[in-house]
Amino acid sequence: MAWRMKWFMRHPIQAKYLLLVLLAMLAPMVLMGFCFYTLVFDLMARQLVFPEAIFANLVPVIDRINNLLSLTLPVLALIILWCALVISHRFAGPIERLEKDLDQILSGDSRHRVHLRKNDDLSGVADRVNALARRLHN
Amino acid sequence: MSVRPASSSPGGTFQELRSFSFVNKESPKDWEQKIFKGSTDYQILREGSLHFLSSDSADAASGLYMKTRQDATPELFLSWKWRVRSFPKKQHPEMLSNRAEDDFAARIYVIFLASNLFRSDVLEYIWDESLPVDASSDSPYSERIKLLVVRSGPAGQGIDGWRQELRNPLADYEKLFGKKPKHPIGIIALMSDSDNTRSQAAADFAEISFKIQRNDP
Repeated sequence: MAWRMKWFMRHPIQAKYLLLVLLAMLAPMVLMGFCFYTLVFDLMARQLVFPEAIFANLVPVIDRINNLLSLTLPVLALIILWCALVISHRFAGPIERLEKDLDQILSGDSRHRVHLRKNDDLSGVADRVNALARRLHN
Repeated sequence: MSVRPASSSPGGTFQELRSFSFVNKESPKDWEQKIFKGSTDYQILREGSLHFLSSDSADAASGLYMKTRQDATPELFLSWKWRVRSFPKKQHPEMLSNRAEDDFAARIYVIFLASNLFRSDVLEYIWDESLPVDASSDSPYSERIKLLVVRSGPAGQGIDGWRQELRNPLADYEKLFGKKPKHPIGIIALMSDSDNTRSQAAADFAEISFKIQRNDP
């Protein structure tokens, strides 16, 4: 079983998947977060009406939440990036490995076989490629 | 809608555009109350032909407001009558803007309402016991709130205690903010509060209305 150690590959397909996953995770989160953030504070301000009450009671709360967000958002961004990297690697890793092994077979090494991890999504394709390679070799 | 003669220094006659007056016991229902600390006692009373809103605040802060929509123009005036019966006791009466003692017996709010409420600009017309007329300051809470003393003097009782005001919100806004308002007047509010000074304040309000100035030919 081949063990892929690098989390970020040179293959452009990982960058594509990484971008897709990041967009899929970040876009709804940012949109919902922004709507929730502005809507809640706007509704609260409209409830308070009187400007002194808004600036004395609500603005300090918003400042505290902003401070909290400034600390937690970078951590959250790192976690999301790590998740995106893992997910994109899981998509792109087997494709890169498959391409490398096929290149080696095509270069004349007819004994070479495609090696993917058991749980990789393309393991079924790898099994069939290996069966084809064996048949051609025999 | 009625036509009334000029009631203050500006010339011309004034046509009532919208009245926020307290004409009967049902009038407070037109206003919404916001309670911040304790509840100022607001009730409609009558002296002769004058119906008015009486407010008594004891270590309390709650205000009444009404929504409206009025563009501030050179012809638009806010008119009202008020009477202060007692002022909150302050340690530093010489300070108009003082977060620790942000209490006034009587103040009228004109809120230039933005779609984002945090960007609304506010004029507060204040009756202060000792500060001179035209004294102004940013509120201790925000520079978007401007405090303006439009009446100075001691508390009064009876019919002689009433004072008439006629203000042009546009002129006051331009004077205090140094620019033209971007938003229309969206809320008119009033308050008597005494919570910061933990004292007492009492005032009366009557005949609050928007008026349009008509220059006589």
